[in-house]
Amino acid sequence: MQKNKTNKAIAMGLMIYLVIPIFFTLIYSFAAKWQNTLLPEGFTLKHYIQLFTTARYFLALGRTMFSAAISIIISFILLVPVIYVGKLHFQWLDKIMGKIILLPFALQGVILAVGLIKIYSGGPIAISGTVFILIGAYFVVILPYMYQGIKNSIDSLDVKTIAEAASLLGASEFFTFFKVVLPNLLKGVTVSTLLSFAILIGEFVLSNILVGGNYETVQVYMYGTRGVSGHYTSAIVISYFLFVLIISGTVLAINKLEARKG
Amino acid sequence: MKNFRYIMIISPFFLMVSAFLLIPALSIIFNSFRSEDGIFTINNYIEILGSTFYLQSFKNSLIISLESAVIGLIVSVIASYAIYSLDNQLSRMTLTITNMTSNFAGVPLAFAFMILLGNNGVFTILFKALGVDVFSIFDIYSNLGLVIIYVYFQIPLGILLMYPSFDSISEGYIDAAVSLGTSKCYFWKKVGIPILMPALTSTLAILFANAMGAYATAYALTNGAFNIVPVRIGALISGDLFLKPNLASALSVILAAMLLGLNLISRRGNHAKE
Repeated sequence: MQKNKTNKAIAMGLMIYLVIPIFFTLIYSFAAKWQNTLLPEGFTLKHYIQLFTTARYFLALGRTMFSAAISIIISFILLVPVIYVGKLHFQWLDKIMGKIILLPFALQGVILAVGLIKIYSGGPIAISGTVFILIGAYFVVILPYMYQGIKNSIDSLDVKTIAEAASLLGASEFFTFFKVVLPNLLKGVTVSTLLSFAILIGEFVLSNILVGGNYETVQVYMYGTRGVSGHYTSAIVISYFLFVLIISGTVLAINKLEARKG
Repeated sequence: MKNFRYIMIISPFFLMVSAFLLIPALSIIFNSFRSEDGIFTINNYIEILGSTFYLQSFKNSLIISLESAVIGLIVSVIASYAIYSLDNQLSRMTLTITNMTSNFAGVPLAFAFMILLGNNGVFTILFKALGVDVFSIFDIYSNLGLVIIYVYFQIPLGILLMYPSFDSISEGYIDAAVSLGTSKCYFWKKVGIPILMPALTSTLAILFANAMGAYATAYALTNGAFNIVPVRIGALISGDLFLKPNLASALSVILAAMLLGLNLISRRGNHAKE
């Protein structure tokens, strides 16, 4: 009994610790003035009104979502054939892919930026400062997660049996892929897609260095407001975090649903 | 003929990977051996090894990463065990909060800690009212401050990595050991910790790498003034003063090698578990 109490206290302490920074940011975002007093001197919605009437914020949010969505879609469209063909026809692909998906861990954040900026700042493909370089970089960032998600999903489908059965019944490989495999895959990769989305929304270093003000993402916008007002910035932090919460909440709900089914 | 078709289907992926991953990787290595005028040299590495400034950035990075990883690991092991031993509802709630706060990192996290512990921070004022000057104990804009902020994002990650491995130690083992007359302490020493060992090393390596590569938190906290390796690299390719992309490449090669090494260690830990 005593032991259980200690465990409970540890869990409660952990929750309080994890929530404190977010909680005070929330209070701060509603505070009218909170500088030298113990408690805020009055509350206001003004920072949120300011935020929700700022077109620049929504444009930045839109850019983040657009570039994240496009790179996830590209990642999916390009990865699925590789993993599918690897599973059915080219077994050697698996080994190569295992090596490739290690690389993004070495070329993390700022290191990837060093490599990309040098190649794409001049020369034949000068895409530095445009959305294209950002999508390419994001493609690399989410590669390990997308690969693992799609691979797990294809592994669980037993595509070999499906392909054999379908070809016995006279269906073309093309038909089998689009009518049987793909619909099942789409269900299986929701979690890794949302995880990738959450990662990209939180991405700062690549967007700041590669595109900066030319294609302002929500993280870069947030960073830029640091000098304006702490209250306004905290309103951005809170609305951004709410957005991430919705995404990670969806992931948790899906996982729970899957666990119940399994 | 059929194989040709398959190769056509998979080639766009390899084109994209080459353009944005393989060629950049090779270019970083290649450029790290060139002077800013384009002459082949190993001077970039010599400059790093001879510069107290760059050596200090490595020292800072290593110390901050190691400290935050060790503290993060210890807390997450204790917390994971507590969560594991609790009844369903409270443990699920704790895990949900852990999961959700694991996304709170980088720029927003730095801002939140400035609100808490900055010059006019909520806690700074609170402690001042109690007659304690927070900055005399620790400064949020110092090494120690950065460790404290890093620990915040290490703990959720550590718990998410450690928690599943407690499944391999069932309460039955402990009961069996105790009823056979051993002490709990002895059980953990001889059975519990050896079972957890692969997960512990792999989690420590991941947390360490996680902090070594982190850029946004430190950058946002001090506007890029903090001397850690990722921030140094960033300043050399996008600062306002002098850009030295090839020197940045040499720093990147060293950092990437460290990150890759840590990743391999974590993978070995995972394999041992299977």
